[in-house]
Amino acid sequence: MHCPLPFPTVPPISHVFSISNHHIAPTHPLSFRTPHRPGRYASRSTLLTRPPSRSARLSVDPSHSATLAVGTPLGRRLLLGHSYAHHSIYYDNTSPSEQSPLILNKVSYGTGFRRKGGHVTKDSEMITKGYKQQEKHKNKVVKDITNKVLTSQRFHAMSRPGEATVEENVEENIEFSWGHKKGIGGPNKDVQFYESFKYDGVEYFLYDCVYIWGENMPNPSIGKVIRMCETGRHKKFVKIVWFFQPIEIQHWLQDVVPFKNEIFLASGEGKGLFNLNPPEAIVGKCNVVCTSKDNRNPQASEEELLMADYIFYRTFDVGSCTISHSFVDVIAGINVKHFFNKEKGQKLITMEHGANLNEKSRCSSSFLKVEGVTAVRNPVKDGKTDISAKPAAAKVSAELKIPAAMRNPVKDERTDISAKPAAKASAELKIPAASLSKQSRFRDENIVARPKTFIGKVGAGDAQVADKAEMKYSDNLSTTNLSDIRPLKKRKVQCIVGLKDDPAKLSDTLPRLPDIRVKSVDAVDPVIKNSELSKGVNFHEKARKISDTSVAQHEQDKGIKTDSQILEVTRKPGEDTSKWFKQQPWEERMQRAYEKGTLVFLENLDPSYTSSEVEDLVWHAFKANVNAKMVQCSSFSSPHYGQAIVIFKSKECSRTCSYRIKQEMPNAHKRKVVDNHLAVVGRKGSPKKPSDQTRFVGHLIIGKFKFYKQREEMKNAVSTSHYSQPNTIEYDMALKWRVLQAKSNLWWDALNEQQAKEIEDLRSQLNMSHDE
Amino acid sequence: MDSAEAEYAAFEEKVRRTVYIDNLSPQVTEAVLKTALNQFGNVDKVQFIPNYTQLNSLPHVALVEMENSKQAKQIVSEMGNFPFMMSGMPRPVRARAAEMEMLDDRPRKPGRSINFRWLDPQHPDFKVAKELKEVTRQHEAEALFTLEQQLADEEKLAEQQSVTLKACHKKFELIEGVLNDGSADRLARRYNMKALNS
Repeated sequence: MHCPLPFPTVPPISHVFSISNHHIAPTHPLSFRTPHRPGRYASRSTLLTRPPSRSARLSVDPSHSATLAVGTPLGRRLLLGHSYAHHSIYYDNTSPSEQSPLILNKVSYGTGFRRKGGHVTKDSEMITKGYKQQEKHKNKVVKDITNKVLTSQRFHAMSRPGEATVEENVEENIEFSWGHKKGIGGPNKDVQFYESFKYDGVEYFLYDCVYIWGENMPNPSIGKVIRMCETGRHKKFVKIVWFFQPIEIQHWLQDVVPFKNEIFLASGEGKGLFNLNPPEAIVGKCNVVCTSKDNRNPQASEEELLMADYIFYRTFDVGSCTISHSFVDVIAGINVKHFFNKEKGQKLITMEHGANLNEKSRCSSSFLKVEGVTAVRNPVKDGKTDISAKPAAAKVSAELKIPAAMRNPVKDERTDISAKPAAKASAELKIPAASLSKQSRFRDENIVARPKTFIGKVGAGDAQVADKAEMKYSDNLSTTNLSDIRPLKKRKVQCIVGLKDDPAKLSDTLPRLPDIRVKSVDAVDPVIKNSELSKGVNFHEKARKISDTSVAQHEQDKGIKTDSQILEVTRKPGEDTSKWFKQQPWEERMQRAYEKGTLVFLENLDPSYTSSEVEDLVWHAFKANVNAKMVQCSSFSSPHYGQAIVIFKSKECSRTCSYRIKQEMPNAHKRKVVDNHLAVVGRKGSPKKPSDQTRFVGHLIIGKFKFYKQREEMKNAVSTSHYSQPNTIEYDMALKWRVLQAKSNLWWDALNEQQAKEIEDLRSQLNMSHDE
Repeated sequence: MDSAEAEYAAFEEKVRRTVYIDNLSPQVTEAVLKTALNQFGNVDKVQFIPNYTQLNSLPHVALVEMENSKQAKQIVSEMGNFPFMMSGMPRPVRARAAEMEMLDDRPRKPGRSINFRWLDPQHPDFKVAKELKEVTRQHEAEALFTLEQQLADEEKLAEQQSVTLKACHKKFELIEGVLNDGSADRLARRYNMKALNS
């Protein structure tokens, strides 16, 4: 499962009671959660002491006020208030057996929450599991809830005495500051709106996507901040429009198969569209990219897509519970343009192709590359999307025709070739070779298959591309692009040609296909490989020009010099600086990565590289986002070879990468060479856990021969550190050790010197230089 | 960029006041190190460098960050001149000035650019790069061998010293025994000499 950020696996400890002014039938599809601040300091131990929590839902008569108490690990109570009906969604994990495996229950709440010393006011009502409490039960319920809150606090108190006291206006000691003021609103003109705020060192702006972590959530919820305000009573709020994760709305997905990291924007009218939350409920920024083809949406660049935690291009109407490709003009009172990608994020490449797109039916290669799926979805004026190819060398033009089914994506969910490689996407691959009059058609189901299954089938030379595609998949599932798949298709065509259809017809074309493939496989570098592939194989001259320029621009963007073949490593984009997601200790992560097989040991790096530089390097060389750590040098490590331990996100990815740099692999044609002319060696990492059974020689104890008195002295000697006095045996012996240490220094120096010479000899044979 | 440079300068300063200490017994904990080195100044931070090599029995290695570079220099020079025992004897610990590569949280060097490229098998450099890789393996093996050799030497020395120590201990025990049970006195009287103790 791809997880964008290393969330702690433990859900935060907290207790939430949401209070509602609506009574909701329990059968309603959506449930609404009250997001809240995850327990920053929640520890495993506090969790273990916690009883299984239920979500309590309260319904409040709109005419009355109620207190919403949110117990966080810090014992803080957040009181929400003020005349907004706000909703959110959450899984009620306490009722797995009652309805369906995933049950969504609904809570909504609103109007005039007021704080009353941590007690829910008498007028409040409570509904649990759709059961509405009667008037006569009220007091009891109130007591129950109060007890529950108190109980939970008691648990906190047990585990964390210092933090668990409830006090008036308890605030976390996390810095919070508003940014620019925006305006004043609200019924009494006492609500101050803001454009940004800074919390825990991270500045959040309007229309940022954020993670909000709800109770018992395996994953945090994602939402977009559309309003930030502070009421006259100094209560801070952020208004969040939700994104739905597929699992939350799986009842209504039906046959829609979402991308792995696809989310759905809430739209329409109804509960679950937006919610008001205290800004403290935000746990961090989330990188959500809109891949919608909507012309109001500034298209995202490939790099942005790679960096995206989630993508969306469909909306989920919370009223009618339907999924739609179209975006209405206004969502939750906010112009839809704010839900699309931000203007400033636009890259040249996307702007250019955004423009092209509307004018031309032909899609340029890089557009496809960037927008793979959505480009196909684009309704084109002649009713066809022709993606033509004409490799200059082989002079075979392959034409991929995407039939009607694919052209109307708005109606047909199956347009996503890359999303569902195995689906019956009815793309047909035509190969109207110049020399051939006959065309062969292949059903797409034969052509497109999951890349994984390819690995075994394709020949040695194909492994590269297949690996690459696989890497793409694991890396960036949603954006797997057509141009990546296409080489696979071709190969598949090639593979199945012998079995299916009429081999004779294609016999002329076939020998050429491998040429094309080889050519594309040998594309100079991984960064432009994609474009080369599509450029070389799939497109007309016209499209080529476009893609050429865009590739150039693209590379300019990245600061990569392709003509010299030497790529400069720049910082990978989108580094998360938030301290929210405290990384687990490296040792632990390494051990886990080792168990998962995602650990790679890189050797032969420049020892002066830093861990983040290695991360950048891997990002540029493999297009993989990794965690890296340089191995710290010590007196017995070689000064010539820097080593780094790299944790990849997925096994496929790490395997691909280590294959690619491992010379022993017959399929690996590429080798990474760093500017200091060292060939980087990669191998599967196998950390030796520093075992406790270390032997340390040289510390002597006289043992049983000692007198008691002496033993006492020895004990003391062991625990203290001292210089030895020159008149003792100890001193004599210590000097012998000193001699040995000096000797060892000498032989290490000699070895290093000799190795340096050997390396230098070899490096001088390398005739590459920077201006080559 | 200024901030990056400032960060780097701060880091360089940090390196200067850090001491690299090896030949540490596994029994040496952070607390022991701190107490031991507080004699020289104030210890800011102690960090043990994890051992990722295949050898388990390597002595432990630690980085100790002192308050200022003067203290760090003092430690290195004094420990170079006199054998310093920590949690046992007679094997002294060894101190060196820390190097940048030893620290794991080093910032990027401002203004440095890294280039890389992939090589085709047809590329003339490919063969050289391949050789470089082989040499890497070879060097790794050499270093490992050297390390093993060093460990063997250390063990040999420890063994020797253990024997010496036992012999010395036996000798002293004998002398003490002779003195304690009055044999020495008797012998002194017998040969009309002054007793050792008197």
